[in-house]
Amino acid sequence: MHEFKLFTEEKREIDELLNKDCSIVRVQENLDGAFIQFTQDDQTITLHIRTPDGRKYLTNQLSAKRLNRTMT
Amino acid sequence: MADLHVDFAGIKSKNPFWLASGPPTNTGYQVQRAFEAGWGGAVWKTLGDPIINVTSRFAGLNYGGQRVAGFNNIELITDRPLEVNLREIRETKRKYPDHVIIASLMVEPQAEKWHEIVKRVEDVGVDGLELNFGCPHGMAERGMGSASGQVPELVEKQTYWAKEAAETQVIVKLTPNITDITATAYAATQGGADAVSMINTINSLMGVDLDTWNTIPNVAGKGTHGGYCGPAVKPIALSMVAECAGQPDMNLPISGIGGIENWRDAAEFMLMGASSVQVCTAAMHHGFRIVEDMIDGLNNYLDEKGLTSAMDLVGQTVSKYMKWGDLDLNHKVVAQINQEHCIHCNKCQIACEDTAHQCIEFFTDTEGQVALKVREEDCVGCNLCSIVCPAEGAITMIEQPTSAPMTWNERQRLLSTFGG
Repeated sequence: MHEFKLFTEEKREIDELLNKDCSIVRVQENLDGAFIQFTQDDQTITLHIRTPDGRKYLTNQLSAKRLNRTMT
Repeated sequence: MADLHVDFAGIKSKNPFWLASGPPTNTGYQVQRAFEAGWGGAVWKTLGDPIINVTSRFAGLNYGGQRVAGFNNIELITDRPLEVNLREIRETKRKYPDHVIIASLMVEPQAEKWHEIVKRVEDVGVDGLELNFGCPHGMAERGMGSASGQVPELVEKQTYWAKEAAETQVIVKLTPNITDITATAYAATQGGADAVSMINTINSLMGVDLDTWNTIPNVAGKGTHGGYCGPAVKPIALSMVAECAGQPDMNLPISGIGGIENWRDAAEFMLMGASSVQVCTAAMHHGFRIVEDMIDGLNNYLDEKGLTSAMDLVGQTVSKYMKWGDLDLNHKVVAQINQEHCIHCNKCQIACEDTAHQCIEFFTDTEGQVALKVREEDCVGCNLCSIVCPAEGAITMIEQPTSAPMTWNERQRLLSTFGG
């Protein structure tokens, strides 16, 4: 699979959880990529992001959310 | 017509183009010819205890059709008595009072040795001194040149000794044969240097002859390491100038040296912070008259840019050079193939498929011709295809709209708040 397809899938998963108002509570990066921990109503979901574009997208989302919070 | 005069650490020069210390500045005859040709200054071939040279001192690296893409030498400092050099410097300065003469110096790391040579050289009217802490070959085995220049404490101490006796400007010429050139540049600052120049030659062995198994060059079948210079070293020199120019605690004028062959190279060094440039290999390859094109070219360039003085160029790019961690991760370019200019050599496709990100593919156009296109979503914008492409204009890197900038350092700070 081309990497873009992998990224598209990762982006879809991130967006889906964020759209469900899940909060990112922890991001851990290691040799295998980024592990994002989302929580909602005491439920925890962990996404494993492997592609560089996916990890970049994640940070842009975090940054945008932080910016929104500061502005509102 | 722009004003090409530069002020280098208080030394006024009619243009930024100086001959670097080396074979072209060995004698008064040569330096006077160079001044006639238009060079603004010359750094006299390094003075010190006269040495004896070997024959077979130089070797050139020819790459593809380009002769002397790189150049290697095992020649040492002057082999002529100091008295002879000083007589010729005095005579040259008398004939060309408006031209800059800098004396390059190399002696053993002892205070009295530096004091003696500084006083004797200044007596004949030089405009400044350049301390040669750079040559990697020969003299280094005797504790001088790069052997001194690789030890910050020795750079500082010897600069201090030279400054104790000097009345003219002291320029410290730095060796590139060190992990971090800012360490020795800083040492020069601490020693009281008025300026730094960089780079001296890079330690090298030019080659091995596959028929005789001798080194290139060889002296009666034996070889040794030498100093590498010429166009191939320009990127190394430029990065070292950039590193030093960007140091906030090292605010010294820089004379740029290393692979400068034309006005374009010179302008690049000036933009990166050099207020004078020194040339050696290109003069050895093409003769002193290359300076005519350098003067014209720089003049025209300044006019085109609407600048009235060469000094206006100095340092304009310094603030654009930073640590990798401060670059924008969101910046995106992708390759685009211009079918009208493509010559269908497939070099881009091979390069991308074998060694990059496999995003250039064949397709059949409406007329049934097989052609190449970039799958933009998979292109990481590495530039490789445009670098290997032999057809001018066939591949363009196109900037893409992106989200707000974010650097690696900003990203890591952000992630740290999420336990990352």
